[in-house]
Amino acid sequence: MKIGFSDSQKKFREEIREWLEKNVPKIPLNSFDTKEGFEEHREWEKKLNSGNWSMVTWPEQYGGRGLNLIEWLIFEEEYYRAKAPARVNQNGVFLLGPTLMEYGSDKQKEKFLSAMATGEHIWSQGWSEPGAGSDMAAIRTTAFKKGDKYIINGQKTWSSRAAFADWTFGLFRSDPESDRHRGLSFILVPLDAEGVTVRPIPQLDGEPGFAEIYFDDVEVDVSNLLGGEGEGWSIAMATAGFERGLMLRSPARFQETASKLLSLYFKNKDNLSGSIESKVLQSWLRAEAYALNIYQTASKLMAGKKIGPESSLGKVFWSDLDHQMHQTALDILGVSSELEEVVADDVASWIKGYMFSYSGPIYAGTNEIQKNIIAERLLGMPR
Amino acid sequence: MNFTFSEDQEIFRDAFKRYLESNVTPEKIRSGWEDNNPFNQARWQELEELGILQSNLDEKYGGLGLDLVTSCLLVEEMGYYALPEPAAEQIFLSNLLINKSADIAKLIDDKNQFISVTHSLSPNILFLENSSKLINLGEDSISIFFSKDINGKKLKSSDPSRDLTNFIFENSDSGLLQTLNDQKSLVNNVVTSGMVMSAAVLIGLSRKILDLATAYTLDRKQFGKPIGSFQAVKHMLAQAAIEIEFSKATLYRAAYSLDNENPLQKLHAAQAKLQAIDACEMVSRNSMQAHGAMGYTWEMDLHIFIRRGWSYKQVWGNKSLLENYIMNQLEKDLPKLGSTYTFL
Ligand SMILES: Cc1cc2nc3c(=O)[nH]c(=O)nc-3n(C[C@H](O)[C@H](O)[C@H](O)COP(=O)(O)OP(=O)(O)OC[C@H]3O[C@@H](n4cnc5c(N)ncnc54)[C@H](O)[C@@H]3O)c2cc1C
Repeated sequence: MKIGFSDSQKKFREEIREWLEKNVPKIPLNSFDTKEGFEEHREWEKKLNSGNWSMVTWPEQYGGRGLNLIEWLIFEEEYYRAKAPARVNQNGVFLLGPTLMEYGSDKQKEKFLSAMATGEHIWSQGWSEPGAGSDMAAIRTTAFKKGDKYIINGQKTWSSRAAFADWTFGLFRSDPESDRHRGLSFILVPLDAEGVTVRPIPQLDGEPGFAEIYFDDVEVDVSNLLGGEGEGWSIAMATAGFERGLMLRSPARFQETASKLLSLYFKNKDNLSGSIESKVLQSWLRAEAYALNIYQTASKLMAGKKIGPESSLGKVFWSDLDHQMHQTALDILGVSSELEEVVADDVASWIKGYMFSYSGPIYAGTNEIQKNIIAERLLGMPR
Repeated sequence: MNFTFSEDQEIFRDAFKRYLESNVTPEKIRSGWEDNNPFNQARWQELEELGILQSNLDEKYGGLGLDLVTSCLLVEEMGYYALPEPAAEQIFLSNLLINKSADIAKLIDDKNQFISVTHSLSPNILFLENSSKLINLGEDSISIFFSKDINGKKLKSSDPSRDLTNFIFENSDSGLLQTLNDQKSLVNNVVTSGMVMSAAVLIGLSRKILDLATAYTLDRKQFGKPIGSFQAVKHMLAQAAIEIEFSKATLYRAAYSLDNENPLQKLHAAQAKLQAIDACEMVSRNSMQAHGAMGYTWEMDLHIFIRRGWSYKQVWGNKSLLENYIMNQLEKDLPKLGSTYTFL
């Protein structure tokens, strides 16, 4: 055991810090759930890429730096410290990227990874359907092969950022005879293809953060199949593993929220009750515990171990934590907490974050589903 | 950054685990209770032969010189099997005192005898009759006594594995061998280690309690199926698993900070203990619940582990003390909080 950063990692931290200080926009960008903000965030992705910062763990040939997971965590820490823009292409760089690296052909990597890194292709993910939420194996949208095309018909929903995105990746039923998780294929679909209709859905904050996607005889080249036909389920599970595991929610964001909460608490301390104090303290403790756990997990992965159902433990932990922190902040702010205005104490960002924290226990597999996984696959309890 | 254990550490831990598995069974623990003699002298000898008692003692004193991270792994297993001999924090703490003070090393030359350690955070003397000497940690002084000359009052613990004696040290020099003054930093270091060790006991206990509950839910049937197939039961135990998982790295980091004299070692230790206290409480409650009435009996082994947690939550830093300490520390360090400071 050797806990701490190497000299080259410390230098790396300085390098990214300096770059971000120079380049992070002084005025926050508009929300990426608006057309205007989406394009501003695309520009930002391009800028990140110009410094080779899109995804530091990727190989250099695709715009990465070939660095390890610890360095990625350092990058994330600096990124949140600098209050840099949210990653509009997170479904691409964090989820599809690693999946392509593992299952994609050289041609697919060539075609998609660099375009992803530059922000030329912004990705959404298409798992959920009206009849297939928690029960993802109930997917009914079909993609039947005809010559060198897949013909896609059906509907996806809740696809984050699909309102303005360029591509979606998802699971489609390619075998007409199949049911449940058999006969599904992982296919990449351009959202400007003929027959695709995207209907944005306003979220709790009123902005179209996700969308329904309708497919009406959409033709997609067979070269857009990732992995083998009918192997979609296991590939999707790998993507979902990245999502629940470290990639989707690196610890830095929660630690930054926790320290913001501490500042808010100490500023108002004299008027606050003991129960608020203990929630503030717990928030900080748990944000730290999450970070330490993720560093240990990253270390294990680097030593060649695999993580499977363990990633479900983290999903429940961070989503509960995120809600607790925002709830506590609102309790401190009291009557001003309802204001979506730019006033003191960053009130607007707390209420926005609070709204979003309600979705944490739902997306990426609800916390109830995660607990089923923990009980059945980690503890060995019967299905 | 390498946040994993070495192969040597894991091999040592696993060998110890195998020993505990066959030698520290609930039946044996219960028979110690029934004989009113939970401290098993033969087992103490075996712990010596295995190298456990001397594991963190410096090599120059005949020990193995292992670090606190390794001790932590061993103590976790002691918790897991509810080993009654207070090897856990007690022996490792007295070894630390010997390692760090030549004066104490001279005074404690009782090879592998049990040395009981007390402090205001763990004031009652453990296994007085089984100990040869007693080290009482004061605010900034350390006093060493001959155990046989101490005349205290026996106390009954809710954990029959804990044999406790109350003794007022102030103004008493019966059995006093020597008092060393100006020992503040050593006392601090040992108390901080006590926090980490007691946290390790709690994590080990929590793991065991959850294992017992999981096994029970596979076995017990209601409505024609194992109760473990009911989702309400699954989710209680899943939540328990989550709490345990997110206490572990905090614990090992705290031990590592002590080994490496990190200036924030006390903060890290307090974090580890608090996490462990909360985890153990939730795991105990949910696991008891999953057992139904059977869990609420003396006959079922579950309580052997649960009640041990009750004590370890309170000794070497309890919730209120730790929370106050951390909150003061955070207020002082406010500008230095946030993700980029995790490992400074
Ligand atoms: C902000 C946000 C962003 C999202 N982004 C995307 C995206 O980009 N792409 C995408 O494909 N999807 C996305 N989703 C959809 C998300 O994956 C689904 O909402 C989720 O899988 C749950 O499905 P559902 O909404 O149909 O809820 P349901 O499955 O209908 O569940 C409703 C309730 O029932 C519970 N429940 C259901 N089944 C069980 C069971 N077996 N045991 C116990 N409880 C159960 C659930 O836990 C939940 O509490 C997003 C959702 C949100 C909120």
